[in-house]
Amino acid sequence: MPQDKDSSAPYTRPIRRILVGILILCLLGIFLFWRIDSPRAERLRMAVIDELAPRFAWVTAPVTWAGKIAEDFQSYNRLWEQNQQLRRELQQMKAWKEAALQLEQKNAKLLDLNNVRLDPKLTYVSGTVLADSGSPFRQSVLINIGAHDRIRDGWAVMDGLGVVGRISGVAQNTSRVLLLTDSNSAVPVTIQPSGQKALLQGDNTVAPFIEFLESAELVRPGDRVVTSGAGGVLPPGLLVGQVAQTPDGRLRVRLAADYSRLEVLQVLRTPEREKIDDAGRLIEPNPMLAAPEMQGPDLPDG
Amino acid sequence: MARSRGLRLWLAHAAYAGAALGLMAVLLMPLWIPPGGLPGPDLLTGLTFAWVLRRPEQVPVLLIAAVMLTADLMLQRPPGLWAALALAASEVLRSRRRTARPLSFAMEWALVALLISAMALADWVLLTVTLASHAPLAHMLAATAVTIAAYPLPALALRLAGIRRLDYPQGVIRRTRT
Repeated sequence: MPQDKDSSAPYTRPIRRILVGILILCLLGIFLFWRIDSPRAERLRMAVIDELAPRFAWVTAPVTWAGKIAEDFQSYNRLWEQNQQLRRELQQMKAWKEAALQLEQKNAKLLDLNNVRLDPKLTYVSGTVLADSGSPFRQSVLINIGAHDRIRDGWAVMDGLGVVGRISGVAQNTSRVLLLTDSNSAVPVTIQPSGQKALLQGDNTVAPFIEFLESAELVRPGDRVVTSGAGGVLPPGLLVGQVAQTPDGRLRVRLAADYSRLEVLQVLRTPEREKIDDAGRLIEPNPMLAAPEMQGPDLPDG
Repeated sequence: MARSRGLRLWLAHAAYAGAALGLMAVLLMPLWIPPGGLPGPDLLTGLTFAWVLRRPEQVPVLLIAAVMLTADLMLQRPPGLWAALALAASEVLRSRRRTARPLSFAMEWALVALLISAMALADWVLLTVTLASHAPLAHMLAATAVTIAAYPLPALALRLAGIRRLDYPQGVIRRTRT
């Protein structure tokens, strides 16, 4: 049975059409009213929205809540990622912290060495390096202080880090420093912590080797080497370097002084050692065997 | 019978108005969707047309006019323009309803597509003629295309709600070979 919206009377259809036409015209009139007098139409629109929109609130609430949950999930995700990234950074920072601590210790050690090891009676004169030795078989440098500044032969020379060599040859305004690496250089040293005494012999290489060591098993690579002061050659307690072991098993010393950057050197005014001539009144020395106290070796000039 | 029929009719009116308000609420929700991209489909128009094609007595003209005008006001369209056009199109569908057998869904979709395109064209013409500011033509065409493409959604919704043509509730009767 076909569904009829209009009733059986035939005149309702045209009337209905007219009414629908009027309705459409009314709507178009509203459009024109909006087009002509926009502010008033907008006020009307806002009134309608104001009337209806609050009724929507209970519909939007669950969606807003779901939106907030999604946002919370996203922010949680971001927080987790940030956490991972921060963890990684923290790892890196820990490594840096270790490096910083080690540097700090090394720095403290170096400062320590620079200041404390010198005998208070040892003053020094500073000079700058003028020239090298000029010969591949002689390891020495010239510095710009000499007899004019009361430099004497045999005095110890240091740079800020360790012993560089000894004065061997003094002129009026310059003097020559024989480096520890020269083959003529033989310095008595003490190896700490075992306290053994040995001789540091240079052989024209960058690391002089250790000779006359009593028990090599007590010495390990990395041990500190300082001057022993034996024989009055050099003042005791000056840092020379660290023990290193070459692949052939020989013990050498990695010098603390920076030989590649010798610029300013300190010449230590080593006072003359007092000589003890007699044995006191305790033991009568045998006049046949008595010998004068050994002095420092005479080094050849040049 | 008549009283229950009247009650059901009022219920149907209320259902249509409620669906319209629900759609507007969805469109007005602050979902923070960034601008740009495709415009959303106009499901209210599609719903109106589908309902008119199935049970025209449940959507009288005045109700359609009121609902579409309210939608115009709520959705920031020029008030009255789209309402008038939708009313005219719904009248076309309503008059069509009286004459023929039901169309297959594809034909129905094609007819609705034609009507919506005509509406969009008239909309654009009137806005341009009255020198009103409106969205660029590309945007309006995209909105039209999306609305047409989304027409099966309200049709399916009505089918699920049980609103079907009373004379051919099963839809198109296939032509048997006799």
